[in-house]
Amino acid sequence: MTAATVAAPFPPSVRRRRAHPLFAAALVAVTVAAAGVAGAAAWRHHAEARQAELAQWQRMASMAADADALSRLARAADAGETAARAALGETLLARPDALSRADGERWLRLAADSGSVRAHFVLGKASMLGQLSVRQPDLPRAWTHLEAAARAGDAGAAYYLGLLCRGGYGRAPDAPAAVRWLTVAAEGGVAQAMFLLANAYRDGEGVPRDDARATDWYEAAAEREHPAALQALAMAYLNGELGLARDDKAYRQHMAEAAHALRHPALTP
Amino acid sequence: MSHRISRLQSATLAALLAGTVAIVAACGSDDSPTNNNGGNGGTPAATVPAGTKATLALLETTDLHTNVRSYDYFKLADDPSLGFERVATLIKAARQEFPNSLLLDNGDTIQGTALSDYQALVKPVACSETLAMYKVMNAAGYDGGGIGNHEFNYGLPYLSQVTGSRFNVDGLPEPGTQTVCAGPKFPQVLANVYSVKTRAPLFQPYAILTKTVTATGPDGKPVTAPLKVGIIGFAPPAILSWDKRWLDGKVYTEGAVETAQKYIPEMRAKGADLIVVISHGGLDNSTYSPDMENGSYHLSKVAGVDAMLIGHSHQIFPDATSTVPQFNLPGVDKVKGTVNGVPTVMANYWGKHLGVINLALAYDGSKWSVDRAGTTVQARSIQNADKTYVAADASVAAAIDTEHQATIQYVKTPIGATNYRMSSYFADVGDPGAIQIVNMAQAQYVKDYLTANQPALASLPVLSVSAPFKSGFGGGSDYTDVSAGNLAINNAADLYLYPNTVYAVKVNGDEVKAWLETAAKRFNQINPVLATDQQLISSFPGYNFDMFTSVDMQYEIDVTQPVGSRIKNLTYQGAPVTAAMSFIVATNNYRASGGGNFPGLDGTKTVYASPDANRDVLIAYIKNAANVTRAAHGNARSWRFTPVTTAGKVVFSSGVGMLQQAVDAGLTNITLDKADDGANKNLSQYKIDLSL
Repeated sequence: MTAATVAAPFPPSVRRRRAHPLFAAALVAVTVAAAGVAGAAAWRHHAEARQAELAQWQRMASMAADADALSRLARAADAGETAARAALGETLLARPDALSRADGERWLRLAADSGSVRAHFVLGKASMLGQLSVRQPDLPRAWTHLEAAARAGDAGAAYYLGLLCRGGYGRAPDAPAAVRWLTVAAEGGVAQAMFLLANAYRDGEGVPRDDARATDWYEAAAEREHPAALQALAMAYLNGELGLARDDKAYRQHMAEAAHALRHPALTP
Repeated sequence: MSHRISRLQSATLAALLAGTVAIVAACGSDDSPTNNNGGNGGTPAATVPAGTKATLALLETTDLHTNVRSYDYFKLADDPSLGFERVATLIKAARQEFPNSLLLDNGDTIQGTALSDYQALVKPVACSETLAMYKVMNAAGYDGGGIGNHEFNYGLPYLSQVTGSRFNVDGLPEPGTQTVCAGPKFPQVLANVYSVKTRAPLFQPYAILTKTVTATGPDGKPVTAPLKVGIIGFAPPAILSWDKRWLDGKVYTEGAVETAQKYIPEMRAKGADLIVVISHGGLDNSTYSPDMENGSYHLSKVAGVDAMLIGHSHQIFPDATSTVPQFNLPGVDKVKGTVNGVPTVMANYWGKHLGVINLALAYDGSKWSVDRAGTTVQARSIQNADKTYVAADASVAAAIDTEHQATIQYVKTPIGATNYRMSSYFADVGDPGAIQIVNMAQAQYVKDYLTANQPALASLPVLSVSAPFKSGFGGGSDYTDVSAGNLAINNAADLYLYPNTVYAVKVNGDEVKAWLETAAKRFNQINPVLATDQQLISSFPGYNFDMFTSVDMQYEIDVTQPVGSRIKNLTYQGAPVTAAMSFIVATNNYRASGGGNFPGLDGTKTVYASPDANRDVLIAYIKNAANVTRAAHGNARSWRFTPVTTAGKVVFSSGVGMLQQAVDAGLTNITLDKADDGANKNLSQYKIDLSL
C-alpha cells in the first residue's frame, strides 16, 4: 500500500528515533528547506510535504521510468534520508534487472535498519514471496521484517503476517494468531484479509465458528469489490448458506457484481 | 493531507514538468468546443446586468457499459430495467423541464456487454464507423464526457481509435501519421492520466463549454447570457494495475487532488464561470493518497469546485434511504445530494438512472456563482412508481439495429459440436464428462501462457482442477446438461457457470494432496460394517469438489476414512507425489485467492492471474477443437473410490431417469435404488457399489 507512505508521513516508531544519526541528517535537510521556520507543527508540516515530494518522485520513477525523479531519490538516499532510502529501494526492487534489484534491496536494508516501517514491509513481503534479488523465499527474514512493520501498525504487513501464521510458513501453523493479524489487516482496510477472516469465521479456524461475523466480513470485502467475497455471498444466497435465506435475485445480483469486480478487483497491499 | 502540503507538492510538480504546462495550456484553450447544441451564437456578455439569475441543469449518465438497448445478450431477451434507450426518454423529459441544460457522461461507457465485445474483439469497428454507444450519444447531443477505468479494457490503440483521438504513446505511430477515426462529437476530458512518452495528458484534461443560457434579469424580464462551464475529468489511478497489460510503461497517473489544484485555476483564468468535476470514482474519506481509487470526497474540498458528477461504484446518490457506507460519511448529505457542500450526483449504472443537478446561479455584475440553497440534486430512475418502466426512445434502437442484430447472431453462432451429452449428474461418483473439457482448456491456456512468458515455470507439470458447479443442490434441474450436437456460446455458460478468471498457482506435492483432501470433504465417512443405508454425499458444496481429470494424475478417495486422511496412492505419471515435486495447477480466481478456505491457497501461490474468463478460455478451446468427443474430452478419470465391501447400501441422489448417463460414462457400479428420493426436489436415489 503506497497509501501508507503518504498517509503516515513519519510513523510513531520513526518519530521516536529522531536522534538516529541518519534521521538527524534528514531532519537537517528538512530544516534547511523550512527556511528557519520553527515549531513542532511547522516541522510536521514540512516533514509531510517532504514525504509527499518523495512519494511523487517514487511514482514518477516507477510508473514513468523518470530518470530525473530517480536521481533525485538517489541523491536524497545518498545524503542519508531514511524515507528516501526506502522509496529508492522499493522503486529499484520492482525493476526487472538483477543489478537494480540487488541495489534496491541494499537501500531497503539501510532504511529498515533506521526504523523505516515501509522498508520493513517491502522487505518482509519480498522475503515471503521470493521477490528478493535472489528470487527465493527467505521465511526467517519475512517473519522478522513483517513482525516489525505489523507491530508498528502497518496493515499490509499484518496481512502477510496473518498468512505466515495461517499457512505455517517457516513455523508451525497458528490459526488463532492468523486470525489476530488478519483482523488487524481487515480493520486497516485490506479486502483480501477481510475475505480470509470471513473464511476463518465460517469454518471455525482459530476462532469459534460464527456465520454472522463471516457474512459481515464477506460483505465488507464485497463493498471493496473483492470478487471472491462477492462470489461467496452469491453462492450463499443461491444455496442458503451462512444462515442466509435462499434468494435468487440476491444471487444473481452478487454474481453480476463479482463478474464486474473482476475487471477492477480490490488490490492487495 | 492539508491543502498547504498539496500545494507545495504541486508546485514541485509544476517545476518538474515545466515544459509540459505550456503544452497543456495550449491544449486546454484549443478545445473549448464551438458548436454545442446549447448554441453560443450571441454575444450579449456586456449586457448582462447584476442581479440576473439563471438555472443550469447538469444531466449525468454514468457506467452505461454499452447497455444501449434494454436487452440481455446472455438470455437473448428484453430487460426493461436497464438501457440507454430508456434513459434517453428521461433526457428528453429533462430538456423539456429545464430551460438550460448540459448532458454529460461520466465514463465506463464503451465496455460491458456482448455488443461491446463484438465491436471490439469479434468484428472490430472500422475507423470510419462510430461505436454504437457513441453513435447514440452523438444523436442525443451530449455536451461532454469523462473517461472511466473500463475505457482502457481493450487497450490504448482501440481507445485512441474509437474516441477519435491520436494518442502520443509508445506502441502507437506518431500522432501526425495517425488517422483521426470516427468517434464522439463531444469533448472527452481526463486530467490525471498522462503519456509516459510525452508527460502530457492522454486526453484533453479539461474543456470549457460556452452555453447561452436563458436567464431572468433583476427586473424580472428574460435575458440571455453566455455561460462558460469548465468540465474536468478524473479516472481511478488503479487502472495501472487493472489494465497493466495494456498500460504498463505507456501511461501513468497523477493524484486527483493535485491535478485539480493544478488545472482549476487555469480553467478559471480562461474564463470558466463554473467548474464541473466529472470524477469516475466514489467517495472515500480515508486519508488522501494520490493512488486512492475513489477520490471524489477529497476532490469536493478542492477550492473552486461547483458541482461533481461521480460514478464507478454503481450506486445511487442522492438517496435518503441509502445504507451504502460511502454515502453515510461525515460531510455527505445523502438527502440533498451534497458532498462537503458541493452538489453531487451518481446515476447508478447500465442506464438505470439519470442524474440531475439543477444549479441555481446568480450574476453579481462580474461573475456567476452557485446558490447552493436553491440548487436541487436528483437521481431519476427509469422505473416508474408503479414498477413499470418508462418507454424506450425508439430512435435509439433504430440507430444501432445492425450492430444489435449482428451481436445476437454472434451469440447464437455454434462454436463447435459434441458427440456426447455432457452432464454432471454423476460427476460426484466419477463421470468427468462435463469437467474434463474445462480442465483441458484451462491447462492448455496456462501452458501456452507460461511457455511464452515464464518458460522456467512451463517446464513444470501444468495441470488443472475444476469442480461440478451444478450438482443437484437446487434439485433435478440443477445439473450441467448439454445435449449432443451443436455447442453455442450459451452452452459454455452451462459448462462453466461462474464469471471467474483463470488463475494458475504453483504448489508442491504435499499441497496438492492437502487440496484434494479438502475437496474430498464432499463425502460422508462410510462405515463398511453398518447394515443400514448410508448417504455418500455430505453437505460440503459441490462447487468446492475440485478434481483433476488427467491420466497423468491418479489417486483414490477412501471414503471409509475421516476427513483429512482420504487421498490414497496419489501418483503423477506413475511416481508417488511428494513434497519435493512442484506443479502448476490451473484454477480460477476464487479458489486461488482463498475461496473455499483450502489449505495453502491464500493468494500468494498465484503465478498467473489472467484477465481472461474461464468461460472465454473454454469457448476458445472448443472453437479450436471443433468436435468434442467422449473419447478425447470426456473419459479421463483421475480418481476412483478405494474399493470397499459394505454391509449396507451406499446411496446418493441425482436426476430422475439419468442412469443411462452413468452407463454411457462407463460407471458400472451404479444402480437405481428409488425413483423418488423423498426430498421432493425431483431427484432419484441411486446406489453405488463401492466394491467394484
